[in-house]
Amino acid sequence: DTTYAGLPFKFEAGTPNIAGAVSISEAIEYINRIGLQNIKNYEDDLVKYTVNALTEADNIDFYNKTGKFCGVVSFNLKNINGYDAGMILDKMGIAVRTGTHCAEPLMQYFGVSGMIRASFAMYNTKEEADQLVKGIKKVQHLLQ
Amino acid sequence: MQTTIKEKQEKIISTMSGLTDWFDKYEYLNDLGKSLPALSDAEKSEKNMLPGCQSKVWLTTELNNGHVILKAESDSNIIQGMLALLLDVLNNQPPEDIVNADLFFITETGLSENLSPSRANGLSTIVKELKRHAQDFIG
Repeated sequence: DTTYAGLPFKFEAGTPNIAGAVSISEAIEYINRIGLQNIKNYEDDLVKYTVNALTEADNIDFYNKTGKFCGVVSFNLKNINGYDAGMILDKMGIAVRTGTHCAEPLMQYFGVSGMIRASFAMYNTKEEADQLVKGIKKVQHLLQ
Repeated sequence: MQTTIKEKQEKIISTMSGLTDWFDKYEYLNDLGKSLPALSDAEKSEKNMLPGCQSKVWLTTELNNGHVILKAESDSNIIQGMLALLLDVLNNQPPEDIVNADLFFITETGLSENLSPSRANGLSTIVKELKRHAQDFIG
């Protein structure tokens, strides 16, 4: 015969995720100490800085024409396969996401087979954005 | 003919041994890929597209005087270069030799190390498909 404890304990078999609970508590306090708006402002500035720098480079297609960003820059390099670009950037220590981003309908809307996406967080810096731009120019030099 | 496949690979290994920098290897592949003849629009069909590749790869094969004639193209510059190497090694060879070929140049040139895991899987798929096509000619 099995008897069940009341809710929520009947669904809490085993050791709870104590370390996870402590970690997320610390993470929330960390974010709150910095401030969500401060983080957003920083990321927005960083993304705009990157977009401006990339806009000065040639042969780059951008898809976000709204002027508003949420921490990412998506683009393609003309006549260069996105996966190739991502692989070479990776060799230079620059991590971008390539492909359809699990968003095939969006790719179809823009008429592309994929995009390259650089994603920024509060840990990133303008120096890293500069490295991305430099890396992209190197990819273009190599593959065009 | 098996010796020819082996010799071709040894020549590739020798050529690439001077390219120690991964950047140089990618540049070499890019240049090689440009030399591969383009497929026609008709040849770049769904039927000729290889499954399971991150980039698009098309492959056509035909048998001519007991030798397999291979044509291939990819929308990836780097894979196009790899295709150029594979075709250099395997094109115009008897199907039995293609099926039995040990393509050691892929590891000995360090090419497989410089591909991402999904790209390495894609390359493995390309090799399997090349051999499968050759096997079809044997029956």
